[in-house]
Amino acid sequence: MLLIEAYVATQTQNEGLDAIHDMIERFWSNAASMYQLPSETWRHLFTTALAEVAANGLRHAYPPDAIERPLWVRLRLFPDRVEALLIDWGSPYEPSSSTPDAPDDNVNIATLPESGYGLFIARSALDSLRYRRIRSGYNCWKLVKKK
Amino acid sequence: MALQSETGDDGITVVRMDGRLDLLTATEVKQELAELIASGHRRLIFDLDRVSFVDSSGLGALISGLKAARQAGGDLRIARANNQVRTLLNLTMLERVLRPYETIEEARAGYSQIAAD
Repeated sequence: MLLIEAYVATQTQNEGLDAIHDMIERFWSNAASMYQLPSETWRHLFTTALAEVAANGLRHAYPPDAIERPLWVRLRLFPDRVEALLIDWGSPYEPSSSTPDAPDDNVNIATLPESGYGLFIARSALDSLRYRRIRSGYNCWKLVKKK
Repeated sequence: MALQSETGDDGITVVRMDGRLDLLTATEVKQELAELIASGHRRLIFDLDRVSFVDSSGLGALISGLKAARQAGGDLRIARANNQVRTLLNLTMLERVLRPYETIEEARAGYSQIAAD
């Protein structure tokens, strides 16, 4: 049973991130006014994952000089979970070979990576993150976090 | 300028920004931190009180600032991070290198062990 649904479609990188943050804020506010949600941390984890997947699509799917970076996002709240679907019309996602290791107690700060945490963060924050390339030419990401 | 900064009598520079530290602002923040450190402000406290959200690019800018400060013989500390930022630091285990201090005063207190110029 679908409880709440929200959509947004954006065209540029700046507009995209602003709109997604506005959208998720309204979504949580509506959801919290009607339903019992898990902790604030649970919401932050999902919001953080959503922002990472959106940023990944906005930045990497399109050529560096592209102004138009269309992105479509749908959020859905169910009794047992929250889901997001993100679609971009860029080039197919190619997983990078390296994900930064979590720092241990003897971490050498000088060699600590400064990037590459994005999808690692999204995966860690979610119950599932799935990617599909749709043959007609778009990328589809599905994020699920259980209550 | 994305950052406002203020250096006290103790030589510690408190850096502030408003809004999101993310994909859209991280490059500028990284650059401004590097400039501050290069101009001799090597003991920094990044006040996150008015930062609403940090993403992986924002974390990258903080790590970059931390590295530059350490290389210069100083440090970069973060204070007054909200719950989202703490959640992110916890998830990435980067709280081990970027410990979130509750207050500016707490972050400042630890600096007494690092000698000033």
